[in-house]
Amino acid sequence: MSASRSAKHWNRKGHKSGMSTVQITRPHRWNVPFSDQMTDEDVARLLTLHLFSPDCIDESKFTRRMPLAGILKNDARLRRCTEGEIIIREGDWGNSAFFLLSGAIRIEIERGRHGFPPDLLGRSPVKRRSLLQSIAQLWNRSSHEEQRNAEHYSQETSTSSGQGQDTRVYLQDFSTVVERYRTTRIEAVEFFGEQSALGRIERTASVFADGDCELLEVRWQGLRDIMKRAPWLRERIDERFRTRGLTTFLRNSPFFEHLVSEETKDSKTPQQDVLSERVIREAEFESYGSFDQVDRFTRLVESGNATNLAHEAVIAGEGEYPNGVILIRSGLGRVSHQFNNGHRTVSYLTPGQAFGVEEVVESWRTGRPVHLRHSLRAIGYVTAVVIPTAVFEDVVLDAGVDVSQHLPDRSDDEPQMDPGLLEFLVERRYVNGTQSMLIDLNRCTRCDDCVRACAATHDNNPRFLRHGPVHGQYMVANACMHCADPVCMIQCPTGAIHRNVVEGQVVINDTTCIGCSACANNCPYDAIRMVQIRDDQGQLVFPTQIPGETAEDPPRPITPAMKEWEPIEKATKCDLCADQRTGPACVNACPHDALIRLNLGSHDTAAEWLNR
Amino acid sequence: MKHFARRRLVAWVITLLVVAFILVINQISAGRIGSYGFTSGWTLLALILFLAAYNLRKSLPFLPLGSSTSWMQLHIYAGFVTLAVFIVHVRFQIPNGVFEGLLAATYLLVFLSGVIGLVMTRSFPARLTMLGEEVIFEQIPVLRRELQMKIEALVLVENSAGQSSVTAEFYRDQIRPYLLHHCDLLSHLTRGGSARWHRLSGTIDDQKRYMNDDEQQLLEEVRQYTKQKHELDTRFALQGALKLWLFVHVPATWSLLIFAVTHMILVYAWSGGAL
Repeated sequence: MSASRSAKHWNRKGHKSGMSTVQITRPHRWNVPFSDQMTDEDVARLLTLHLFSPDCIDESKFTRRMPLAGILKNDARLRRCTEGEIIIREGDWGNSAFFLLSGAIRIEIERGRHGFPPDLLGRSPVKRRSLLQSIAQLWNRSSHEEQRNAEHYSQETSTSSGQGQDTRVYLQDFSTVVERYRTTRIEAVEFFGEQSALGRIERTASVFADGDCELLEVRWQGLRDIMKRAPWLRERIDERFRTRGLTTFLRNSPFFEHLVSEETKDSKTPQQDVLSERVIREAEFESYGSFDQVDRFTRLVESGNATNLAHEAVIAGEGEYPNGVILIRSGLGRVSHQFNNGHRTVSYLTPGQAFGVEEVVESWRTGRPVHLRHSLRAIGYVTAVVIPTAVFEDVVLDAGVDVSQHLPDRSDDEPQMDPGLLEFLVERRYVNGTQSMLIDLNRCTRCDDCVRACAATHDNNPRFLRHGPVHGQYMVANACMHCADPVCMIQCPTGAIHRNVVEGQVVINDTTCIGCSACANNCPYDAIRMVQIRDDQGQLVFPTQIPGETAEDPPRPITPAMKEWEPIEKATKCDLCADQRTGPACVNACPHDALIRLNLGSHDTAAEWLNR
Repeated sequence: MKHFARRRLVAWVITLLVVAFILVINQISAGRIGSYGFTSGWTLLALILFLAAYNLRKSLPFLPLGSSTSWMQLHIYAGFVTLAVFIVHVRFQIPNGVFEGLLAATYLLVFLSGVIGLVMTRSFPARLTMLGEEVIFEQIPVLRRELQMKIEALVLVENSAGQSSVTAEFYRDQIRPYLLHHCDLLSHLTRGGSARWHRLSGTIDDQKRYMNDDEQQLLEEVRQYTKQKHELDTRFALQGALKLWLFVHVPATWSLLIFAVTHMILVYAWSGGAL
């Protein structure tokens, strides 16, 4: 037995510690299934459906460890809904997609003020600790770092399920809702909810059952694995991603709001028809940059070459004639202009924002061509919709829409924040953060009250480091930024790292986390830490068994001599104190106004705080 | 006007209004109740209790008790209010009793340590930022030791092959004493801490006259390391002071609370029912 594998281990503080006596199987992907209601009979029935028949899916392409039947049993659940039952609520964060197996559903067409009011959707208040539970944190804290109830894990695996358990909510008056609001009926076999699940974005429409229906809900990890082995499904989802996504996106754009609201007042026609067909038909859906943005970005930072704009794809170049108005659909765009021998960043664009509008408007007003005054580059991977100039002029400008109110407040050569800081935030992609932790070092006394408060609200374990890249007087601490596009979620095999359905914080389910480190490795901001867990005696927890070779095989016992003999790890990160009554404890604990959680995606909000 | 300037202006205006109000109330109540210090005494005790409660708030970050920033602002300006109330309470005189003198001295210790702490918390962070890379306070002694080992490795090991002993002697006589010398806290806090390093740097320049190219290059590296040590010393002094002042302010506050309550009991005990 090697020294490192002996029963005695050294913890981070250098204290000798023993090994936990808890009997536990090393966590694996399907430790906690999506639902414990799925039976082998259900799976067998699903496999007889055309959707999963050999014509559609070649089962031989699935691995022994991860067969199609295993995915259906562990990553999916059957939902039988009755009339008026709400399946998806607009604004919730999606972690799963749905296949409508039988019956019909209705999808809400209108959004915003024309859509369902919040009370109709039965949105329950966010669960927080009660006052007594909050006070109890004084004496309920663990005495050891990263202490867990290890026995709870072993019980969890056999008795509970993942996220596929929720309360059923019904529309209060189904017939009135159908009468009053614009909805569209969809019948089996159809799928929906995949855009939100795969795109890690909010649900864009509410969906409810129209009569009795049966649904197969698949968590996105399962859907991703099926898509990998079912080309037809992948192609269909990609195609729908373009069409449905484009329509939804354009309907939500303020430039086309007048079309939607005017044409749909008394209309019962589907959404594609009412949003000026010409816009849909002529709009171009483009993508720029590389999908593997995380790897590329990490390499760039490591090589010290992140400041070089050459690696960023040019979406529109300064001095070119604008072919149209560019609307950012996903990702981030850098707006810059030529300055001596380089490019100075003026601003950045987030999803929904437009580029080239000023030039198109000026050209339309003066009747002479106006060239682009700035360049637009893709920071990482960007998808954008280009509305041709002629279409924009006809549909928006000729209609008398005041576009100026929809443009960001940006003066040409004087960015609202320090240019160096702006470059720093953009080139390191911090503008992806919706809750970035910024520390003003000129006010921070290094008292660590923020860290202590974080520990006090997380069972004595701080969930961030007061350390990170610094530019001038500002530090971006290594705390989860709750990114607009959380790439940490991409490779999580169990869905343990997910968005809180109601508020959208990126959180980790400690029970379903198997300690694979995929999220920590994917996070470009070093905001996720892998920790070795301990039992109530402070001993490291080691697995006594590991999963079998296949899904059916029983677990195998392991001993300290085996290479699998490693302490059980869990991923940890900032959860924005989602369950606390106070909001983020770090912000509340800072006595000197030095620390803030900031949406850096909003240039104006960031500039306001930085210029205070 | 920027956010902080506006906040400061508003806070001072309110503070002065509160002080004026307390003074007026004290004047009115002094004649009516019969004891000059009754109102001011109770006001002072209440304010001190409120100020001390901030420490309690800090240890309960999970309760919705308001942000620490708001508490700190109230703490600062309420602290200034206590000075006015204290002066009124002691009738603009130095207390002549032993216990009253001790009580007043404790109050002044708490107040002055608070003011010094305020000045430090407002001025030292920017100086720390200017020093560059952030360093954890507890790691500074380790980093200083590492620097010393690097310099020793450079001077005594790498330079040993066929070189003269001048460099080693220079290290023994000039560099090592500097490395072993504990930082002058006060001198670093008052920005005077650079003098010692500048002297050493000048000595290095003088010594370079007698060195060949390799030795000069070596001394340049040594100079950079000593500069890092100097910056660590400054950081140690600044961060240490930012932590240390609370070890005066907080215990003194607890002493003040004990003395103040004792004072109140004594006053009531010896009032003969007049209060």
